[in-house]
Amino acid sequence: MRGLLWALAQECARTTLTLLAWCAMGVAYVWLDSLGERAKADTERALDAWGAHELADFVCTRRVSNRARVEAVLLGARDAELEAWLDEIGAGADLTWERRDHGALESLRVFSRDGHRTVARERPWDELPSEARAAFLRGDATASVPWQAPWRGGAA
Amino acid sequence: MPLPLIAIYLVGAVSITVLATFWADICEWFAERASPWLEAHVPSLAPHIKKAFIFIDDKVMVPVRRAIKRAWAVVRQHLLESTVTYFKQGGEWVRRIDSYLQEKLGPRAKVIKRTEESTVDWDELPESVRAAAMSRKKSVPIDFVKTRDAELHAMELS
Repeated sequence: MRGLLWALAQECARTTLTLLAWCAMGVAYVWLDSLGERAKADTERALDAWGAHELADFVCTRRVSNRARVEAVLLGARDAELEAWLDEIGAGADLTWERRDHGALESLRVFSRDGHRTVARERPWDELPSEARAAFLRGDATASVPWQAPWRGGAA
Repeated sequence: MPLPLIAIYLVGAVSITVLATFWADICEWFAERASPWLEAHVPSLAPHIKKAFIFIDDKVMVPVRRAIKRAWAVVRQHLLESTVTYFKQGGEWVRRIDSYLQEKLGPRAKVIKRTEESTVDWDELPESVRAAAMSRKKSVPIDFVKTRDAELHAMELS
């Protein structure tokens, strides 16, 4: 009888441990997934802010008083008049990444019908967006993403 | 089957730690060496291996590395200084940790000093401390915060 109880206790302990182990694996998966989503959102937010800042700076050289408002519109605030003006002057931007040691050279080209300007900065691997990292891991030396205005369905 | 699962966890934890430290180096190696080699020698498998590698990079390694950096940045705000000193006392090695902590942030926030002492066996001493002890040094201080900052900086560059 004692032997049977001991075997039963062992079986219960084994089952409980197995269940706990699987639960821990599930929790780890959910945790990693939320970390991934957060990392992606942080990178996108930082890139949107940088792009909006540089583009607003470029197109507002003669309309300085509107600079903050233009930046807000580029980040998604609604303003039909400014949206029409930005469309009219052909304001846009694109991001390019060139593979470098331990990261990439991130270049932002902002442009309008009057010309363009390019700013660049070195970024470590972890700060790159997933599209750029995936392109590098596929063997590409460069990656690029065109910018689309928020009022035309862009990310910001 | 708990034992194999526990073994998987242990092996997984150790592997993730090692991989997280050298991940940027590993990615560079994969992009420059492994990827062209796979294309040349196993073209049928290459896209699947690349896809798996991209998945691990995107869903595991980069989020974990960023979480470690974020967590350390939070700790760093509160932990102003932490020095670990190893010294010999009555034939035994003692580890003393002096930490200066700020519970709340701000210029007027109170700074708390915390000191902990414990005896340590010779085998448990860090290698640098054992080397210093062999050259007859009586105490060995280690700046914990500076060391950790340097490690994370190296992780950023690795």
